[in-house]
Parts: sequence; structure tokens; C-alpha cells
Amino acid sequence: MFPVLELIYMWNGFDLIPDSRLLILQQKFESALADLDRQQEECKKDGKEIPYSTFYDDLCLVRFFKGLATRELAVPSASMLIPEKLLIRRQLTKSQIDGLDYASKQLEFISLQADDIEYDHWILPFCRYELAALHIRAGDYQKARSEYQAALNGGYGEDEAGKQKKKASMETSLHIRVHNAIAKLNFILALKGETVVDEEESDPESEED
Amino acid sequence: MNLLDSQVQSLLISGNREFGMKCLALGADWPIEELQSPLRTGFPKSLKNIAIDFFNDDIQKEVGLGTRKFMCDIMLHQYHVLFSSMIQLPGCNMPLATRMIDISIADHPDSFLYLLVRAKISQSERSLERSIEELHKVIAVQKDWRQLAHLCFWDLGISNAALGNYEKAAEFFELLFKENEWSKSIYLYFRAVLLYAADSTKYKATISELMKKIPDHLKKVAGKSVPLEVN
Repeated sequence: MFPVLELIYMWNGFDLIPDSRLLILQQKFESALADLDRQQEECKKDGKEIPYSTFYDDLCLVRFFKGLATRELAVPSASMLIPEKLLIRRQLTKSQIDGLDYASKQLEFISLQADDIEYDHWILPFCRYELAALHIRAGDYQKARSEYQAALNGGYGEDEAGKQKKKASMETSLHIRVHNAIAKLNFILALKGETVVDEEESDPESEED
Repeated sequence: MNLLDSQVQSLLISGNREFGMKCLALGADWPIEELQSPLRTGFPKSLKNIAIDFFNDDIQKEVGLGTRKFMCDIMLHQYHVLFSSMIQLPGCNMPLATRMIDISIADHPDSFLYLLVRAKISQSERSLERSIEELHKVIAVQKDWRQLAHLCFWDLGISNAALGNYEKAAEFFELLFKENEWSKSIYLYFRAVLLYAADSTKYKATISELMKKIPDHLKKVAGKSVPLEVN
């Protein structure tokens, strides 16, 4: 389902989609979810749990893109490319907060269904990464750090049940993104005067000018 | 590497992002105060002597001259514009990069690289129609190095795909397949998926043909498959 969006996402094109196009895609996602619901209801009449083996792959994929689109409509990635000292001073509007909240529910859904994914195992760790990026927008920095750690751990937090079944596609690419995102998070926390937890950033040799 | 001075070697190996950015800003005549990092106020001991030499008054007088300024400029734009469009980066400052590129283009209106950076900025701002227009300008500026135009074809493909112009996007990947050797299998796959999104019934035969060709164009480098192609 939506292979073109999967390809655009993997090549860093999803963040470029303008609002006008995102609104059209949202309608397609709603339509796809309604269709998947209908298919599941029908197959339950025949005594089956799901209509086809990759059903949860499609369901999680649509939820993933719906979550991303909602997040981009609320607080686009383009608006995050400013210095961190300006980022931390931003005030979100109520509609932005509501948008981020709704987007987080779409992405959190994936964690609940990830164990049933047949082939697209990349969705869960990438979903944790995108959820962390959402929490950064909302100013929930500790939640963001937990999600980044989960993304590095195959999609599962340290205190969560479950284990990565298979190496996810593009895992190396994800890890590069996450490590740089954690470095950015540490910038933000240092500006706010909060303790930087990540030991990799401490520098025993450093001295004042 | 072995021929380099030990202090320079330690600079290359130490991975001090903030120090590197300050050096580049000095070389490119960017405002250093807008590139401050909250993490390191000083320099590691191993770099202190290099830092003192690098930032002394005699060297600062030479800032802004010649090829060094251009090279540092491009490196900074790579960080703030190109890499930040792919991954979140600490210290990214797109508004500053935008101001600096406008100054650079005013001085060098026919520079392929500066115009390409401007197009990437428009792309990151989600002004895709403007970005597409600017990318076509970039292609028109120079005809000597066709591979530089291929960089633009890729971005034109992605921008059109992001706008939902799937058939138009597929044309650019067809061009890339014909003219470029970087990864023909990726171009084939992109074209197949874009045509499927445009009209899976109308293009059914073409899509099938393209997908069958992909395994024949997979590359190996030193015997290893290219991860991007395999994934």
C-alpha cells in the first residue's frame, strides 16, 4: 500500500510535501483505513482474524503516514531548521498541540501492532524515531530521549516487552539519523540548563577559553 | 594522513564539530557569533595551540579572500542546507544560510553550486514549485558537466513526486537511467513505483518490464552489494 510514499519517505522527501498535498493525502489515508476496517469486519464473518497475511503491514503503514502527515500539518519539519535558542522559545498554538497529540496516537498505535507485522519490520524503529521528533516539537524532551533509545534498540524501549525479530531495512541510515538527533537534543537541553545525560558528549579534555 | 603534522592529525581525528564549524565560519566570513554552541565554551587541550594560531589577528586579516572562502562557504551550506534536509543536525541555522547564499549569489550570479544550494533551500522550505524553477535554472547555467545536471534531475524527481506529479517525476528517473551510472536499479525501481502511483492500469506492462530489469542492474562494489540497492 502506498509504495510511492514509502520510497519518498526513505529518500527524505516526505518532509518536503506542502500542506495542500498533505491534506489530499490525509483523505486517502482515511479512505484506506476505512477500507481495511471493512475488510477485517467481513473476514471475521468467515471466522478469520485478518483478510490476508500482510494486513497488519498495510495497517501500520497507513497509520505511520497518517501520523507523519498530521505532525507535519501541525508543526512542519521546515519550521525546525532554526537555531535551538529560538526553538526552545517557541509557543505552540492550541491547534498545533492538538495536532501533535493526534499524530502521536497514530504513531503509538504501531507499537501495539508491531509484533504482527509480516515483512515491513522497518516501520517500528522508524516510527519510534518519528515519535521522538514529534516530542521534540512538543517540548517533551525526556520522552524524546526514550523514543530515540527505542529506535536504536530495534523499536523497543529498555523497559518494554518485545524484541526485534529481524534486522530492519535501512537500519544503518536510521542509526545515523538517531545519533545526530540525540546530539541536537543535547544542544537543546544544555541551552535550557538541564543536565546532559548522554556520556558520549562529555569531554574530559575541555577547558575554558 | 601519516605525512600530516601530529597536531593536524589530532584535529582530524578528534571530531570536534563546534571547533570545525568555527574554523569554516572564519574562512567563509560568516558571523561566528551566530554559530555558537552551548556545549563547549573552550577547546580540548589537544586543539588549543591550533585554535590560538588559527584565530590570531594576522590570519583573520586574510579572511574572505580567494578559493578558501568559496570552499568554506560550500562546506557550511552542505551542513546547514544539504545534510540538515536529510538528518536533524545540532546547530543548524537555515535562516543564516539563506542570508549568506543570497549574498553569495549577488556576487556570483552564475555559480552552479550557489544556485543549487538556493534551490535546495526552497525545497527544504516546501516551496517546491519555486525549487523546480530554480533547478531548471541551474541546469541551464552550465552544459559542460552533465553529471552536475543529474544532481538536479534527482531533486526534480523527488520534488515532483512530493507534489503528486508522478508521471513528471518518472520522466526524470528515466533520464537518469539513460544518462547516469550511479545506480540504474534504483532509477528503474523509482520509475516503476511512480508509474504505479500515477496509473497502475495504464502502465501495467511498462511497470512489469521495469521490475524485471532491476536484478540485472544491481551493482557490487568490491564484491559487496550496495545497501541502498538491496534494501
